[in-house]
Amino acid sequence: MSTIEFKQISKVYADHTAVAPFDLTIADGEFLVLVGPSGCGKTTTLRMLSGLEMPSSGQIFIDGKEITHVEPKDRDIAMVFQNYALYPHMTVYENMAYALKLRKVDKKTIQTTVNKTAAMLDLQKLLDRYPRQLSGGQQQRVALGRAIVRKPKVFLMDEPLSNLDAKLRVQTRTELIQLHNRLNATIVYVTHDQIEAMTMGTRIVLMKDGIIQQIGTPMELYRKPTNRFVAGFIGMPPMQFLSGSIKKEADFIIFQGENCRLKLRGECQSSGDVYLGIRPENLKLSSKNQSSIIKGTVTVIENIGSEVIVHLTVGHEQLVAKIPAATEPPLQGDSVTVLPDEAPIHIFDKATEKTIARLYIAP
Amino acid sequence: MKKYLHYLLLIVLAVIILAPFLYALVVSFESAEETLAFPPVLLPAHLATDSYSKALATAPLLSFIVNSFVVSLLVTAGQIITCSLAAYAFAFLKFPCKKILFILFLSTMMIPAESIIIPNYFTVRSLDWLNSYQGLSIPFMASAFGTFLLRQYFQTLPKEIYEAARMDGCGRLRFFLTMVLPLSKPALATLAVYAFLTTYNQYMWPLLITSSDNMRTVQIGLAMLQWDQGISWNTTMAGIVIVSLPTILLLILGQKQLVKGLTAGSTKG
Ligand SMILES: Nc1ncnc2c1ncn2[C@@H]1O[C@H](COP(=O)(O)OP(=O)(O)O)[C@@H](O)[C@H]1O
Ligand SMILES: [Mg+2]
Repeated sequence: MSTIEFKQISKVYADHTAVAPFDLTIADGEFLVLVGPSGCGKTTTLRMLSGLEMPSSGQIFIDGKEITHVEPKDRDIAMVFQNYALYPHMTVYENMAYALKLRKVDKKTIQTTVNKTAAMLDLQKLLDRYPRQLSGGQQQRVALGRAIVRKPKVFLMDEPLSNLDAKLRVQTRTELIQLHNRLNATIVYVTHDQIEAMTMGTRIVLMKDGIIQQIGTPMELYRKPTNRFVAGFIGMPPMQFLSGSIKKEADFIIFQGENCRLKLRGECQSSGDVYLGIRPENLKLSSKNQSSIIKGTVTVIENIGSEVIVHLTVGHEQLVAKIPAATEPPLQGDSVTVLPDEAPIHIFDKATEKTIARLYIAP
Repeated sequence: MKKYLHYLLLIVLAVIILAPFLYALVVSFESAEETLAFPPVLLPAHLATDSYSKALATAPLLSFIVNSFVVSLLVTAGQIITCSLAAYAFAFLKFPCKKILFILFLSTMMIPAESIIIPNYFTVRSLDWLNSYQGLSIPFMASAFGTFLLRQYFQTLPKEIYEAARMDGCGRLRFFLTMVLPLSKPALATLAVYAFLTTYNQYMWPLLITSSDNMRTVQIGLAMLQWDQGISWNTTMAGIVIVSLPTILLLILGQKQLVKGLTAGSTKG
């Protein structure tokens, strides 16, 4: 059992705020992903939890016990570093045994623990090698193994996959998910890659400029982004935005933009200038609907086999649609009309960029 | 073609650098007449070794060599210990005024040794350390240069290793002993050779604080050979060869480690 609680934790360097005060509770066994663009304060947050960095304010609790000023080694936390930080002059076995040796665990126990972990990570044949004799993927597994043998309350991982090539990254992603299931451990994982966040996280904390934008499950962030930044960060290709204005017309809400008019239904109190957000996968080539239309010109076609990504210009704005490969794709330069499907359409306030409504296309 | 030019240049440089020593070696085996002959004799007719026995008789060179070795080893050990500890603090620990202290530390390198030799003499005399190993070695057991050299090397060790070790439960002293030192062997070897040779070649300080023959060091012994009236040129050269041999041996033995130290990091690990 290990729950983590942040209370008004912040970090200020000289005069700039790396992490603004925030509250966060992480439940036992969660795979929590801290995600956001580079420089948003993910690493700083993780390091404050590890004890390598002291927060400027606030408190951190593990299992209800305050550990804000406890030495890293006494927090019962293991960390996997981005560059793995293996001890270069020690063999794989010694690297994995090191923490146990320092805790005066007896030799026999160390041996069985290390061997068991090595078997789990497929490292048995490499135990006598030095880190420099390993490939990147193998080093990464040793770094994981070094953390696992300690049986810590919490695993911290700072972009552990970013030094691997694309194929290995996808494979290791799956392995990490399986590992989490097997160990039943609490993991706090930092990445800038939204796909890693979506696929691995049981919950995601999305940060920007030191401020938490949204906390929620991957699907919550995907379906109900609280602002335009979250909407544009999650999803591949990301959500598309058109600017325009909305106004009420009878029971419907009309969005009017350049070369674009949509008749929408749903709850919306406000009117005026907004951004309208649609995910590329929710756009389809069509001209059936009489009351709604988005008119664009095809600029680029990207066929990735399973589907086709169509880049359009709508007035002065760009729009991307992802359509099934089965449909006959348009040609570059074609004038096409696209329409949203039944999925929610997000409306963001133009000034605050906060989500103000989720509406649906009217028949 | 380029390769030949390259080697030609290297050979010429090697000859220029080795010439004085080769000359000393040749002269030390000549007879007194051959040394004075003009044009100079480049190869002695037969190997005369009496200049060696004369050199050893004039000055107690062997005991001087032992003295120099003891002092040099003491200084080397002292510098390795103090410099690595100081460098560790400057490279890894966080403490107030670290930058300023380090600059202050470095600035001591700009003080000419000659200007502090007299105050040091008075200090050593007041401690009653004249004519003693501690007087010869302790004043040189700390070095700003050595600290700088090691700090620069320590800083190339990834910071994450320190952090990973900290999380694994490794204390500062243990990290220093079991991680920093083993990972810094090339830099430590460089400092060791440098400290040893500088101390071995010291002249002014030992001359100043030693007055009895049983505490004097080799460079003074050489000077004794040079200024003694009854001594011929080839005896002096024999002394030089005797005195240089230990350091040359040391250099040959330590060469591999030294080259490693100078090229460390040039190949990807
Ligand atoms: N030791 C430091 N001193 C000053 N500023 C720092 C330090 N460490 C990080 N920062 C700043 O804090 C912000 C957040 O950094 P970081 O947590 O590393 O971001 P991320 O991991 O999300 O890329 C950045 O603007 C960075 O420049
Ligand atoms: Mg980071």
